[in-house]
Amino acid sequence: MKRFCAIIYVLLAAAGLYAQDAASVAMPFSPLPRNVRTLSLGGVTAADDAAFRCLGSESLDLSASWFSWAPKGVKSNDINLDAFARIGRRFALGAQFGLDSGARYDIYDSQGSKSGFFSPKDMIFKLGAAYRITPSISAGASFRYLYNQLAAKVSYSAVAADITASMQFAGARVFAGVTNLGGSVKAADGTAFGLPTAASVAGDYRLALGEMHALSACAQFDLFFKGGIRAGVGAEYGFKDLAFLRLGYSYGGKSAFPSYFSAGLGVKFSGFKLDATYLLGSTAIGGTLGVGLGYCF
Amino acid sequence: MKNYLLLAAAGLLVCACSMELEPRESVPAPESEDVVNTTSYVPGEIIVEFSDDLIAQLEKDLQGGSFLQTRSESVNSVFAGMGVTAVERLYPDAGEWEPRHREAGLHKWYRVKFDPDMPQTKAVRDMSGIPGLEYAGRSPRIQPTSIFNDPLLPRQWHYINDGSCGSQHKAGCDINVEPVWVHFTGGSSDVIVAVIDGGVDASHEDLASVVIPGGPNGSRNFVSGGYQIVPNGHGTHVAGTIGAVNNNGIGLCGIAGGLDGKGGVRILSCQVFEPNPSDPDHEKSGGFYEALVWAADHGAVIANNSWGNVYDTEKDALNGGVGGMKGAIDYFIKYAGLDINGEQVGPMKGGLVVFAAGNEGWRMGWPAAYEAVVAVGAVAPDFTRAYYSNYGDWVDIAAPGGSQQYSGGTIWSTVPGNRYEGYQGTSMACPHISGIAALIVSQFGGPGFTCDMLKERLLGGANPNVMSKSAQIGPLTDVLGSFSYGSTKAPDAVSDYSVNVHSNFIDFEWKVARDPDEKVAYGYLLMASEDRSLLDNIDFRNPPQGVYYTVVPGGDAKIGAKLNGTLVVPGFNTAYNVAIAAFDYSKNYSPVSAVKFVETGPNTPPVITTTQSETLTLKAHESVFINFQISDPDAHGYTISLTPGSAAVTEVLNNITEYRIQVYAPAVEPGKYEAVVAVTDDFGAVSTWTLHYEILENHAPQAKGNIENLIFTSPAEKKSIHMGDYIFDPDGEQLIYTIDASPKGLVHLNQVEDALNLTTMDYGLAHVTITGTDTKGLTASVDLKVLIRDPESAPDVYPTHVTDVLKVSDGEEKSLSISISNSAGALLYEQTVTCDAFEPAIVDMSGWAPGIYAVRVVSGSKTMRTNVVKL
Repeated sequence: MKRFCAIIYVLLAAAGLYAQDAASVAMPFSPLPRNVRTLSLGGVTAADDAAFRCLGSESLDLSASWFSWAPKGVKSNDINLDAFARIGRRFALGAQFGLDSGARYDIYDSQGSKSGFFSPKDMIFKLGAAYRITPSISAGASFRYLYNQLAAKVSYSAVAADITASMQFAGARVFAGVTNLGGSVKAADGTAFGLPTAASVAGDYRLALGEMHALSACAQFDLFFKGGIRAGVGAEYGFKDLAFLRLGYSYGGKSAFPSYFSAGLGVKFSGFKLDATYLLGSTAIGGTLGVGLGYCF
Repeated sequence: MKNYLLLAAAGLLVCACSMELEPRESVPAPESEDVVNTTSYVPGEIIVEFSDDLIAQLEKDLQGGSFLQTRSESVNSVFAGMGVTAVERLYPDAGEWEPRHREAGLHKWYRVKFDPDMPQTKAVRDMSGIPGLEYAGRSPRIQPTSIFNDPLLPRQWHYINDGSCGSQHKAGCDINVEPVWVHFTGGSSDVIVAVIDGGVDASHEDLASVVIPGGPNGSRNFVSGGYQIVPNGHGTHVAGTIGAVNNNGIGLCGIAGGLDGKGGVRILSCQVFEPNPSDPDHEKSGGFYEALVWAADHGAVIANNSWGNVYDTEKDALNGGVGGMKGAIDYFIKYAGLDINGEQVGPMKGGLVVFAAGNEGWRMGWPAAYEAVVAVGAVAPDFTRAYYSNYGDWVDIAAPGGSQQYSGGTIWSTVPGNRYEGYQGTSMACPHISGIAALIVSQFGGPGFTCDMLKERLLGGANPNVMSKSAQIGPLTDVLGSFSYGSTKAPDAVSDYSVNVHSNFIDFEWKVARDPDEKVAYGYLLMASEDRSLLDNIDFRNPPQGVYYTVVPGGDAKIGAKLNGTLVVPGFNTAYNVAIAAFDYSKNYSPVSAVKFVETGPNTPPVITTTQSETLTLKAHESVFINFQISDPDAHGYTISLTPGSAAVTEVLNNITEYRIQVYAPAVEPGKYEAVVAVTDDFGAVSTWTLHYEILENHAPQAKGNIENLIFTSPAEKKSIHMGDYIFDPDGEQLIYTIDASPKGLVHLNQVEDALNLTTMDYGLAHVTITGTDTKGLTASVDLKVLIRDPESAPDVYPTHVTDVLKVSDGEEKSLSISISNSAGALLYEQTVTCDAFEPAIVDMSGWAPGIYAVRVVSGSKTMRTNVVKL
C-alpha cells in the first residue's frame, strides 16, 4: 500500500510539475465516456476497453445511449452506439460511435455585430480489438477518428490510438494503457495543439453477497502527457442482477476535464438492460442526463 | 399629272406626229389649308426676348449656331420639341452702333424659326415655359404700306423676297418688281396676254375685271369648241400670276395686275385643256395650234404657254423639235398686234411667245427650245435651279417656279372658286416672264415698239450675277433691270445735303435725287477725301486711292424724302472734303454734289469701369469675380484682351459691354501676380486696367482633440453634430467633409453643409471617420465611436469566432465576472475584470486549442451564457 501511495504521489507531483495550460488540449471530448453505466461510475472509461472487457463474462454487449450534455456549458445532444463481441475464446472486438450535436450559437463579429448563427457538432468513431493471451491476461489496441465542426468551413479532425492491457486475478481486473496517443490539430494561426494523451491505470472488483446482492467497485487514474491528472471512482450495488444503483466521482483537478459526481440506475432482464445517469457537482456539466438501452449475454 | 399626260396624248393624235403636249406640272402646296390661320402671322416663326441673365448664358451658343446645344437645358428641351431650325437676332450686329443697341437691349430680341406645321400658339406657349424668357409672341406679317393691300402678298416671295417666308429662303431671290410698281407701272389694260392653257376662271374675285369674256372676239374654248370657258386650276393659276388685280384688298397680286385695285393687263383665255367629267383622270385637250393663231388675231401681244411636248425619255426629247407648232408660233410673233392689213393696232408690233422649259429635269424641252420663243427655267427661293426644271443653253431666262422642298417655297396664285394655292413648276415660272413682258409693254409699248425691243429689254435687263452658271437656266429675270435697261441718263446731282461729324464718323443727310428715266436715283455714293482734287474728277466705278466712300441704297423713297447715311473715315482730327453722287440702276452717276469741308474729331480710347481696386489679396482657397463695364465714347467697336499673369485669372464673360474675370486662387501656387485687361477700339486706341494680386500660403486643416464618443440606447435615435467642432481650417476655409462608417448598417449619416446628422439603425459599435479636405486637397480626420446598445441587454461577448482575444463589455463601466469552460466541461478561465462602453474586457485566447467554449458572464444581477469558437 505504501508503494502504491508512493506511486500515486509521484504521479501527482509529476502532473503538477508537468502541468500545462488545460486550454491547450485539443478535442477534450475524446476521452469522455460514451456509455451510460461508465459515466455513472465516475467516468472509469477502462470499462469500455476491449482488452478489459475481454476478461469479463459477457460475450456480446450492445447498447445505445443519449446524453443531454452540459446544459449549462457547451451544451449538446449526444447519441452513442457501443458494441463489444467476443470472437472465439481469445479474440474480441469493440466499437463506439458518438455524434454530438451542439447547441446553436449566434455569431458576433469583431465589432460586436450579429452576423449569423451556427450549430457545431463533434463525432467520434472508435474501433478496438483485444487478444486474450492467457485466461487471465489480455492485450488490445484501439483506433479512433475524431471530427470537430466548429463553424461554417471550419472543422478539425484527428486520429488517435489506445494501447492497453488487462489482467485478472483474485476476482479483480486491472488495466493499464496509453490512450489518445497520436495526432494534433492546427489552429487558424498555425499553432499545433495535441490531443489529451494519457497514461492510465484502472481496476474493478465485484463482491457477491449471497444470491440476492452484489457490490462492485472500480477506479481509474489518468496522467495526461500535457499536464494534469484525472481520477475516477465508482461503486455499483446490484439486486438479483436485476436492478442496479450506481454512484461515482471524477476528479479533474487542473486538467482539461471537470470534477463531478455521478449517480445512476439500471435494470436488466433476460439480457436486456436499461440504464440512466445524472451528473452533478459541476458548473459546466452538472445536470447532464444520460439514458441507455442495451442487450448483453 | 397622269390625266394631263393622257389628255395631251389625245391631243397628239390630232397632230399626227410623235409629239405630245402637256401643261407644265404643278402641285398644290399644303399651306393652302391654313391660309386663314396664318394670314396675319408668319408660320413657323415667333419673336422672343431673353432676360439679361439668360442672354448672357446663351448668346455665344446662339451666335455660334448651337441653338440646340446651349448651356440652358430648358432652352434645349423646348427648342428640340419645336423642331427649331434657326435662331437669329432680330436686330443683327450693328458694328459701330452695337454698343448703343445693346444698351437699348436690342441684342436680347431673337427670331426663332421652327417647323411651320406646328401651331404658332403652341410654340408661344412652349417658349413661355423657359425660365428667364421675358417675351414670346407670334411674328406678325408685315407688308409694305406703300405698295398693295392684298393680304396674301407676303406669301408671294417670288415678287418680294425678304427671306421671311422660310428659313431656306434667301432675301432678294425674287423678280425685283417692287421698285417698278412704286415708280413706274402696274400694267396697262391696253396689253392683252393670251393664256393658252386650261380655262381661266373669269368669275374669280381677283381676276374677274381683267379676263376677257368668252366670245367671237374674246376668250375661246379650243377643246370643246365655242366660247364657253370651263375653269381650270392650272390655267387660272397661271393667269393670276400675270394679272391678278393688285391693291383690291383681296387675295394676292399679279405682276401686271395694276396699281389701283381695278386691274392691269387683260387676260385672253385660250382653253386647250378641259376637265373630263366622264373620266376625271383623263383631261381633254386640243387646239394648241389654232389657239396661238386665234390669240394673235384677237389682240394678244404676249402668249403664255405653260405646257410642252411629252417624251418618254430624255434622249427622245434631245431628238425632238418644234414640229408643226412652228407655224403657229411664227405667226404669233409676226402678226400679233397687227390688224388684218398689217398695221399696228396694239401696243406692240409683233408678239412674244413664252414657253415653260419643262419639269423633267432634262437637258431639253420642246417647243420651249425653239429659238424664236422665250424659254423659261425655274428657280427655287435660294437662287438655285429648281430640282425639276429642264435646263440647257436654250433656256433664255430664269424666273421663280417655286419648290415644295422649301418651307413656304411654292408660287402663290389664284385657283377656281375664289381660292388661292401654292404650285410649283416651270408652268409657274413662265407667267412671271409673261407678266414682266406685259409690264414692259405697258410702260414702253406704243407705236413702233416691237417684239424684238421687248425681248432685248426683257433678257438684257435680267441679272446674270446671282445664279451659278452651272444652273443653265439663263439669268434671273429682273423687272427693274429691264425697265432701266439701256438707260444712259444719270440722276440729278444731290443739291442739298448736310454733314455732321463726330470722331471719325461723317453723317450725311440729303434729299432723294430725281432720275430722268428711272424716276429716282437707285443709290448714293457718300465720299470723303483729304485731297479735294480727287473728288473733282472722280471715276465712280473705280474710285482712286485716297477717296473713302460708302454706298447707300435709295430704297422706296420718293422725290422729296430725306435720306441719311454715315461714312467712316480712318483719320482723326483730320480735315476731309466730302461729297455725294447719285446713281441709277444702270449705274449712271450724277455729277458730284457741292464739296464740303469737315474736320473729324479725336479718337477717345475705350473706358473701363469697375468697382474693384487694383490690388487684391486672396487666401489660397478664395475666388472672386471682377465685373467691368466697357464703353467707347466714340461708339467705335472694340476688342477686349486679357493677360492673366497666372492660371488663376480667367475670362468668364465677354459680351462687348459687360466683361467679367475670375481670380481663382486654388489654381496657382502662392505668390504675387499681375493681370492686365486691355480694350482696343477698331482704330487702335487702347485702355488698360491692371490688377496686382497676391495669393497667400495655404494651411492644412487640423483636427481638434478630445473627441467625445457617442452612446445610444436604441435604433432610430438622432443626433446632429457640427463637424466644424471636430476639424477646423486655419485659413477659415469652408472644408469639404467626407464621412465613412464601419461597419455599415448601424448608423445612417446625412451631411447637410457642416452638420452631420446621425440616425441609429441597429445595435452595435460603429467607427465613424470624419475627414475635412481643403481646396488644395490637404486633409485632417477624426475618428468617432458610436455605440448603440440596449442597457437591459446581456453583456456583449465578441467575436464569436476568436482568433486571438475575446472581448466582453456591458455598455458602461462595470465589473464583470467571466468564466470559460471547454466542451468537456472543465473550467479553464475565471476572472473578475472591469470594462467600459468603448474599452471591453479582453480575454487572451491566443494559446487555446481550437474548439468550442462556453462563456459565462455575470454583470451585476445579469448572467449570460454563450458559446464561442476558438479557431
